[in-house]
Amino acid sequence: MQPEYAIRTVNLQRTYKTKERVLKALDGVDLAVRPGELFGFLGPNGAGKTTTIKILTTLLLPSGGTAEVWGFDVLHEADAVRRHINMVSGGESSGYGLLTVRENLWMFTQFHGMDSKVANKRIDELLEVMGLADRAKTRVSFLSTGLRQKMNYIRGLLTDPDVLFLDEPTLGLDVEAARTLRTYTRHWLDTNPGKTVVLTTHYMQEADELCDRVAIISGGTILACDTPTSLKYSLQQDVVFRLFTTPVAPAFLQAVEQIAGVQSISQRSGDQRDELSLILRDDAILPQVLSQLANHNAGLLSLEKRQPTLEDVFVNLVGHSLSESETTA
Amino acid sequence: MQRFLQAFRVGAWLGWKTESNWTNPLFYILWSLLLPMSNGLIMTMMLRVLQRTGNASGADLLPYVFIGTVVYSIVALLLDSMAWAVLEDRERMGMLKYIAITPSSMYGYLWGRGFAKVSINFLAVPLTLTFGALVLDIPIRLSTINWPLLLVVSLLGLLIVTFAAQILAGVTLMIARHAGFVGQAVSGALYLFTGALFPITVLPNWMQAIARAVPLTYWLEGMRRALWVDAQNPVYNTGLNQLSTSNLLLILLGSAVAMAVISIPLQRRAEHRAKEKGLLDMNTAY
Repeated sequence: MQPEYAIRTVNLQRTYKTKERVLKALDGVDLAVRPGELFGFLGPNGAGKTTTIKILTTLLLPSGGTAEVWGFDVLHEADAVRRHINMVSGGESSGYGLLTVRENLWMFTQFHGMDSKVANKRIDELLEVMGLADRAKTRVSFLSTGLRQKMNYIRGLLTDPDVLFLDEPTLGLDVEAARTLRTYTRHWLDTNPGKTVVLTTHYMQEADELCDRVAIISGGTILACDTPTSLKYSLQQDVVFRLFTTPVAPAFLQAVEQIAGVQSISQRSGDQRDELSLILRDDAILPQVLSQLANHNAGLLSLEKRQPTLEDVFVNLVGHSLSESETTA
Repeated sequence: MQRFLQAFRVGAWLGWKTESNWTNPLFYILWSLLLPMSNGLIMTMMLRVLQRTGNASGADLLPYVFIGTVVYSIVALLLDSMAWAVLEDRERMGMLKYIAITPSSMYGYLWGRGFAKVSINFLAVPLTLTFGALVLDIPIRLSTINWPLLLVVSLLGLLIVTFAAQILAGVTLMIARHAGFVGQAVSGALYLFTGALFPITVLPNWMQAIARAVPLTYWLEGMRRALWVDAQNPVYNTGLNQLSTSNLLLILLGSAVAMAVISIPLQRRAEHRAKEKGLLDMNTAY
């Protein structure tokens, strides 16, 4: 029976205590994800994405609040939760190197108590879909990181979970492999009504393209949660500019932030030039920004007015870009 | 129970694949034989030297030492097997988290890994004992072996060691990779206290008290009695000669039950603690 919520958390908290300090990784996260949704977590390293996933997959105990997956409490009904979930983490080269691809995959179906015949049939199908059929008998130690990740992805789907957690699944994958994975995830959801995917990602475009709803998380708190379109629409009354300039000093950014009507400014440094994302209340504020540019001896290379992106939403909510957050982290 | 057996089967299968896969079968058999055999030979030579220099009691302790050393090789392997599986799966393979989120039994899986390790190496024990009987004239004869006793004592002993290994796996769940010597450290320490190498009567009184509290001391004694017809001869002064075999079996049975009662909640507690501290997917990168 399908529950009302695939995932439901109320005031979810997680604290890590070390000798030196107490770190709040999650600070009151409330979530309600319905069956059939592809739900995304967007945030920098250390924002709380993976901590949330770890709690929901029963790998980590919460310090407070409640969390339910497919109607079961992660703390008191962990075994029941595990019957409905699977997880794929990216950016790691996991797998038993001495086993073949098929053996690795078959082994995990057995942990889930799948019939061997059914398991092998499903392994064949998914190997074919992910373009790994010719590697079925290859030892995992001979696979590239990308191919291992594809194998890992297949492992996640093999047991036909009700809730699939994808933790940065495309990290380290080449463009083609990442696209295959994204396309199949969407296809899997479309052809299996009621299945739910929770995706954490660094990639704005991935979240924008794939997710039905996105939660922007930073510092263990959800800052916003809506469809990508609605999140971007929330910035519609604002004006978004992209500027390419000669390298600017931090003092320039501080000066711009002081200008009334400047919602946010973020900087991405490149080779001999900076890219600035600027969100303003009104077009009329732009001349003041340009004047500051001149005051700080920086030159304007190009200027473009554009539609808001999820990156802009993130900057507007967090105060800086995702890449800046990661540098800070 | 079904989940336990299912996980046990997968653990044993994986253990077999990973333990026997690193070299070709011939080298593997040679390695399995040479390790306990060389230990036995070293002990034999040491004993012979001691006896020649007149420092020994006069009784020929060679069968005592040889059987103890060979049987203990299984203890060392099994004790370390589950702890090693935890470290390997968690930090080298990065797979423990994926196993932990399946509905299978972690204990069953670890027992399977331990079983695979022991069964792969188990052949070395009878082969080395045969070598001892034929080459070193150790008085082990097929006609004098007490087979029922051997079977019962072996099973009880393996159960005791398996539960102990489960405790060590629990401890390993809570520590980082660089502290992965727990299994080896415990088996090394017990080597001194279990009478594997010499009768416990040579130890100071306080150490003898520890030795008498360790179930493995009784296991090795039981194995000797099953394999060696003269094991209870008072001339050897092993410290356990007076203990009847039925009492010895009772002690082993009681120890197996006690170890089960202790190890199962301890392992559960360790798993809970590891989840509390977020250690199930720890990678210390040492």
